[in-house]
Amino acid sequence: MKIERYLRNITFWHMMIGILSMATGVTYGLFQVLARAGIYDYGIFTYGTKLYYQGLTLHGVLNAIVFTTFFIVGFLYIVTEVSLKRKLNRGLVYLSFWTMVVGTLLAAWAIFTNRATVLYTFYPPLQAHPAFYIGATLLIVGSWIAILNTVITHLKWRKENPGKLTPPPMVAVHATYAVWFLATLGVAIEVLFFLIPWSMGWVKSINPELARTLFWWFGHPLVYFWLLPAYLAWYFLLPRIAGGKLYSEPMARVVFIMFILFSLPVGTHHQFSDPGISNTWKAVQAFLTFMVAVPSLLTAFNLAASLEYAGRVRGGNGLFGWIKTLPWRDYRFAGMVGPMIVFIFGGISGIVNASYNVNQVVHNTSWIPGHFHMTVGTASAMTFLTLSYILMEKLFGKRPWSKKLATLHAYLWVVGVLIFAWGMMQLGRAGIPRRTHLGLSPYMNLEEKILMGIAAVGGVLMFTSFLIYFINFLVTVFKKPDVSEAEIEKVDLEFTDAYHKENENLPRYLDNFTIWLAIAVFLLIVTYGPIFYDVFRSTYAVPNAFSPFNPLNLIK
Amino acid sequence: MMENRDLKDFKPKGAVAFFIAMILMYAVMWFSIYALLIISRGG
Repeated sequence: MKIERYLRNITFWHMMIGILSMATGVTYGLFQVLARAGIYDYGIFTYGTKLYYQGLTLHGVLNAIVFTTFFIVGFLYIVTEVSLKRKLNRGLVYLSFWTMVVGTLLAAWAIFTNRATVLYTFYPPLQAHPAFYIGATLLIVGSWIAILNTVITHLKWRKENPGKLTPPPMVAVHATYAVWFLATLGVAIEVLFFLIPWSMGWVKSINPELARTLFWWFGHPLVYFWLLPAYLAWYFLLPRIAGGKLYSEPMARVVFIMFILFSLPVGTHHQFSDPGISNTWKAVQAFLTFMVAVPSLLTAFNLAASLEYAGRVRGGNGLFGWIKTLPWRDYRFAGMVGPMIVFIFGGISGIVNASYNVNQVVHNTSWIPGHFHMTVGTASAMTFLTLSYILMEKLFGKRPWSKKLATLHAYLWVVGVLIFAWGMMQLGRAGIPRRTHLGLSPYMNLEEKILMGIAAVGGVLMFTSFLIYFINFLVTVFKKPDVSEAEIEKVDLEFTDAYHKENENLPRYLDNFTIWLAIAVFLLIVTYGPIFYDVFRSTYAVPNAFSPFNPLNLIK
Repeated sequence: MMENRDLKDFKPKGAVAFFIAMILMYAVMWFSIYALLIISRGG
């Protein structure tokens, strides 16, 4: 499939903006972990302790929102064109990109100038400059334009290919965008109807509980927006890299459909300790959060079977003898299987978070960042960094400058994040809070200080790993292509073949996204309707606005 | 990229064993946190 130069270039810029955001975010991550351990004091810079929360906001927003959104939109453009063999609308690609860029610049300006130190969750009554909220809105609107472009392209493909099944990678693209679109509706309502009027001074009061509920309508499904493109790579690229095949293609389709259904009505498990929402509906969403673990468990089996197939093709035998024959020195393999292994631990820590009762042990503690650095911080982020190497090779004919460094980066990150997460989760079990500048606290005991130090060692290893990646990637960008321009133009992502392939007997409802979207919307209404009823009935707006640096109410 | 060759009658026994081991590990980890909850409540 020939990919036009403009799309290859703009995909590069999606990647590059994402990676530069991550480079900044990761640097602040290093500051956070060292500051918490009391090794480094933000006070040596001019902002004093202000910068801890400012840095934390930068770390969260740049890594979790900007890096992921830009990277995913760019990657999914390429997957769409390659799997449908059809062109996207060029004007919409540019419109989406520039809308996202302007939004990011506005939000970044507000954070860098300390006008939006509201952390990644931007809960009221912490108040940011309107530019932050407007910027976030534009970033989301830009991504909606990308969704529109993708849907139009797919509908045209359907018209030209009546009766044909949607290619499986495209099912993953639709699942990702369906989850993102329905999730962002919640935060769009929060920002447009509540946060922007309040930060502009048009209204004085805001209902924090209502805003939190709207945020978490978005905030947890966001996890699946991060995760599904990584799953796409694990399902449709990794088995071939390993030298085998995907074990079951129909199971992959069912998994992505399950994510459309169950990713959305789950956000209330972040609000188990919140007042104003009945226990019944918290329990319902806890149950549905367990449901969304099912497609991940199916994925664990399907991918293990795919890797086993590859290992046996490569000569492995015995119950586990196939594992050692896998290509562990291949940077693409290491950069995807490493995150998968870490994700096994991220998964169980997430099930602990989702359990209504057990959540009380870890709620709002350091356990939570320990958990999500193994999920989004590794399963998604590491896979995306590996994809950046693959995309540089496929789109520009540039193989990594050093494959050895690429492999080293993957394993070093895995070791670093496991040490970091272990330290943070042990601290969480001891009740140590998250999002607190603990390096300044006089009440930490020796055991806690040691655990902080362990987390800091993990953080330093992660930072070192990222630095290795960043240098290797930049040199790759600036080196000359390894193949001719004619070869570069024929982009083939080399999607895997399957052992159990989909065929024309597949029930057609498994290829009808309207049905699954309708059921997802129905589940959202049924589960969130009573929750909003509770929130409206038992909470109310208050004339409050605060910044982390001033105990006084900003509303006069 | 390695040339794939086909395996006939492939049964993913290793993947099944891995999956069972993973679920057992999940159970151990979940119950260890549950035990903390019980202990903290004086149970």
